[in-house]
Amino acid sequence: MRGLDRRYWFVLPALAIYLVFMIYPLFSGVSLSFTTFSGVGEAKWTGLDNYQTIFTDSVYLKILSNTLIYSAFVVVFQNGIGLAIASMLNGLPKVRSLFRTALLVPSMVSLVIAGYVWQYLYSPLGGGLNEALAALGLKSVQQIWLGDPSIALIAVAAVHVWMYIGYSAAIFLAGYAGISSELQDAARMDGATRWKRFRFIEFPLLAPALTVNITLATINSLKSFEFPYIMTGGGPDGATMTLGLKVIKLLFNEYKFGLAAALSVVLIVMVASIGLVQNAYLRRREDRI
Amino acid sequence: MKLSKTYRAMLVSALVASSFSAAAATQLEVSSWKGGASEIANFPEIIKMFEEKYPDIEVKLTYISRPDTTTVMPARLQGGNPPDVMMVDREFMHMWAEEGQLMDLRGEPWVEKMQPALLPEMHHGEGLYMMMLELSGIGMFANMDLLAEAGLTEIPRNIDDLTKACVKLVDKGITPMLMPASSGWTPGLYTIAIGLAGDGLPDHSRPEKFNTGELNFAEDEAFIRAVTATKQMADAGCFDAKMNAGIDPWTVGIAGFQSGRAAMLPQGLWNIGPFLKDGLPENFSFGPLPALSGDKGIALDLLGPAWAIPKDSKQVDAAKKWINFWSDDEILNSFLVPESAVTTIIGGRSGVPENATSYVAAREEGYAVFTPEGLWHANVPIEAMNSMTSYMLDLSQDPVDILKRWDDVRDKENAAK
Amino acid sequence: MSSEGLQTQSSGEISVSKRTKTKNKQRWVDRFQVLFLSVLAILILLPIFYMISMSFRTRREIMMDPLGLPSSLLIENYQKVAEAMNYGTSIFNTIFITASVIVLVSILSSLAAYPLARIRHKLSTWLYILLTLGLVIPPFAGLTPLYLFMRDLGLLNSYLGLIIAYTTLNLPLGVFFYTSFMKSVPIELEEAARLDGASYLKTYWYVVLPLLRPITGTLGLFITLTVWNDIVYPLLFVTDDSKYTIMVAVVRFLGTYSIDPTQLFPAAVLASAPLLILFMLLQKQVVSGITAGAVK
Repeated sequence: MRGLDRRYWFVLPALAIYLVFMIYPLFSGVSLSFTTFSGVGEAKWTGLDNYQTIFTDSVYLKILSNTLIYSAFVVVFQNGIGLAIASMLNGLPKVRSLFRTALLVPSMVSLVIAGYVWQYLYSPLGGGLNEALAALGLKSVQQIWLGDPSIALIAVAAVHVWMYIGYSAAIFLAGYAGISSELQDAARMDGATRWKRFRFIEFPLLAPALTVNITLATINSLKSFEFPYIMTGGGPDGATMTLGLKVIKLLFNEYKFGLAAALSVVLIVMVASIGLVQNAYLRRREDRI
Repeated sequence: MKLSKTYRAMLVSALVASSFSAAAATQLEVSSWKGGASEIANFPEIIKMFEEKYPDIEVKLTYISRPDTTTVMPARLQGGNPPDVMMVDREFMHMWAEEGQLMDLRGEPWVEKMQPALLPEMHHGEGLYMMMLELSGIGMFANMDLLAEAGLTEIPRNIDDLTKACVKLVDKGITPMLMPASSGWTPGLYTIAIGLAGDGLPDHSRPEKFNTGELNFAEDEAFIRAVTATKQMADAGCFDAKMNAGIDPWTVGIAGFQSGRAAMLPQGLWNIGPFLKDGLPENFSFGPLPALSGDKGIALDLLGPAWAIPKDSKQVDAAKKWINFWSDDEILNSFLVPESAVTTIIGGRSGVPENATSYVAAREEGYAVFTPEGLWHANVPIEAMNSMTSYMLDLSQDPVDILKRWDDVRDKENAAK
Repeated sequence: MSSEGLQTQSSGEISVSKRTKTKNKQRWVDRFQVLFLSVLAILILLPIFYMISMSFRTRREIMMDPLGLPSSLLIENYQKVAEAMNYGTSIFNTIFITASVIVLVSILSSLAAYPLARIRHKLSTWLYILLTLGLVIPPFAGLTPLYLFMRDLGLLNSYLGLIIAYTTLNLPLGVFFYTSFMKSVPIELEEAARLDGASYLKTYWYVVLPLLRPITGTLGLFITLTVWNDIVYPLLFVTDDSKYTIMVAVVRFLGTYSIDPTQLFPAAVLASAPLLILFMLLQKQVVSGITAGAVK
């Protein structure tokens, strides 16, 4: 058997920093999940109690389903709309970079501020969205966006999509840049319809961009806590409580560092397995194409 | 050449920086969530006066917001590297005193100046761990011009009067009040306040009894009536319960009241300053919350921030001087006025403006309860808030079921201990 | 495909008129798309517009009508806030730290991605999974241990500590980006360089690294946003005001129980403005990198 490829040395600097400053603290953090640590002082060893709480309390089932719904919504809409925008912009080189910049602006804004403005847009007291609907003669569609438990989660997820649509579009555009223009021209010459060109030429060739986009959107939305934290605090009555937010609440409001650590572990394992399966599937799909 | 120049400049500046911190006399690091840009609370002035009185001490204020304190401070305490004086509140004090992270301040000169009713709240077990700076409170804001349109001249003091007032206001086409419930904060605390107070003068032993489980919320007549009060208000047209579940108490709720969309709003004393500065509403007052019965109402006191000394403080003497400095009425008052808050020292002057006199009067007559935050396990008020939002979304629920949720959470927490 | 092209060419007048027709149709489609995108962009930018508009208004105006327009441009809000924020220093710190982190992350993670993308071997797969696992770790999971560790290394209250913390935080993203990008880059160039006798390190430096320019722009953007908007690390690792980053200065304007928009909004606009300007200035580089990049 021959020795390891010498290029493996190149991984070493990154790996060393990563192990020392991320994995080591993480493992110390994980060990807290077997205790009733409250932030300071001695951590009392309680074995798997924290995990038992998580897997037996029905509250966590509801939180899990919220998280999955939230994530599915974000992944589908952020990437669907991002892809549609990117495919339009690809054919419009003159305005491409202007729109790309414009769409990235929301992600450059502090979340606290974005949350504040959206409060007023969603407000049931003459809020922007409801007023706009009334002006369009759609009064019947008006909603108590953040107060109705059946739509609050989607309303919050929509703000997430709003903020990061530019990301998805930018990554898809980078993918488009990689498709040879000869191929696109040839297809156009053949008289292939817009849809056919997209479906049979562009979309398959965008596979790497799609992998990156879906993986990032899935991971980020599954561990997201910022949007519900700022807009609803998890309410009304837990309707927008996600796993990430629950970790934050356990830390900030309930001071249960041990339970928070246990929930973080569950979150990490869940996101990692979803991410791995998804990534493996998407990579295989890339290879097939 | 150029590189070495930059390098030399860096070296020099590094040296200057290190010698600078070494040359400072006694540096006292004070961490605080007051004194930031949005709540300056006269801090620069107070620090200046302190440094004039103690020229060998230099105060270094580290601003850390209340929520960030939760993660930043445990790490610093655990690391043996805390600030010399830290701002805490009752929740933090209980937690960190329990872990032996705070210094016992019994016997300090300022202790005997503190109001006797507040002293127990500064203790954890036997020890005294903090000096409370202020009391704030939650009461009812009212737009007096809107009330006058319906022929009302003062804020109702009990639920019956409130519902009657609501009917009058609705007749005039005015939305009587907001009960912003997106996080459950407003209805949760309102229910806790009137439930704890019961009828007549509040019994101050009740909060602890609910904490230990000696009393159950779901079996307590006052609490059942307190939850039901929300339904009575909604039925009388005081507010649209479902709509209020979508209103945030800190942004949309306040703007809704200030812009005159509703005549009343339960909120905190600290809003008086900004409301006065805006001149919005033009004519408003702040009174106690309408109680279950009686003609006094009930004030919900929020125990304010306090100073504590971590056990690993490196400047204990200077830290003690700092705390003692704040027990001077002159100094404390200059902090309380911008805060619109109530004093904690005997015979001290509060910073509460005139349009809150009815609130101050009620609490001075004893019609006040402390928020149980910091006394009850943190989850119980949270569950109270969530369950009240749930109640507002479906008022056909049995109030006893709502209160059972509180009991369950408390029992679970007590069992875990 | 080329034969079909010939066919179209040879089919004479009919196809020419058909082509102008499609060209005309295409122009209309383009116009419609631009219109549609414009409407969409305006909708997406509307909340940003409100944010800027609110920053010029008095509190009274905002409370009366939150989504109204400013009656006059209140510059006063900005003057007060900029001073209280220690604006120059905070921006300088943020830019300095961000730039250092971008440089470190792009070098470290592209170096790591080179073998990970090129070697088909079990170990490389496992290393890739290990390194990208960091993507799923929520930010609070290892906070206290990390603090204790930084303290023991004497890295508290220093730029270096912050730079290391952010570099570590962004390494997984860098590895993820570079590896997936490099897989889409043809291997021929590297093989040619190797055949010319270049060492692996030289191949990496002269061949691989330049190819990665376009994705580095995107990665840089992601890193900038992370560092720019974070408050937890500076609050935890730094106690010296003069080393804080810009978002810490913004958050100071959040009250404990209240929000004063006349301070918070100008502060937020001031904090985001350099980011936007920076991005627009560098956008050309990033874009030209993407189009010129040897992706084809």
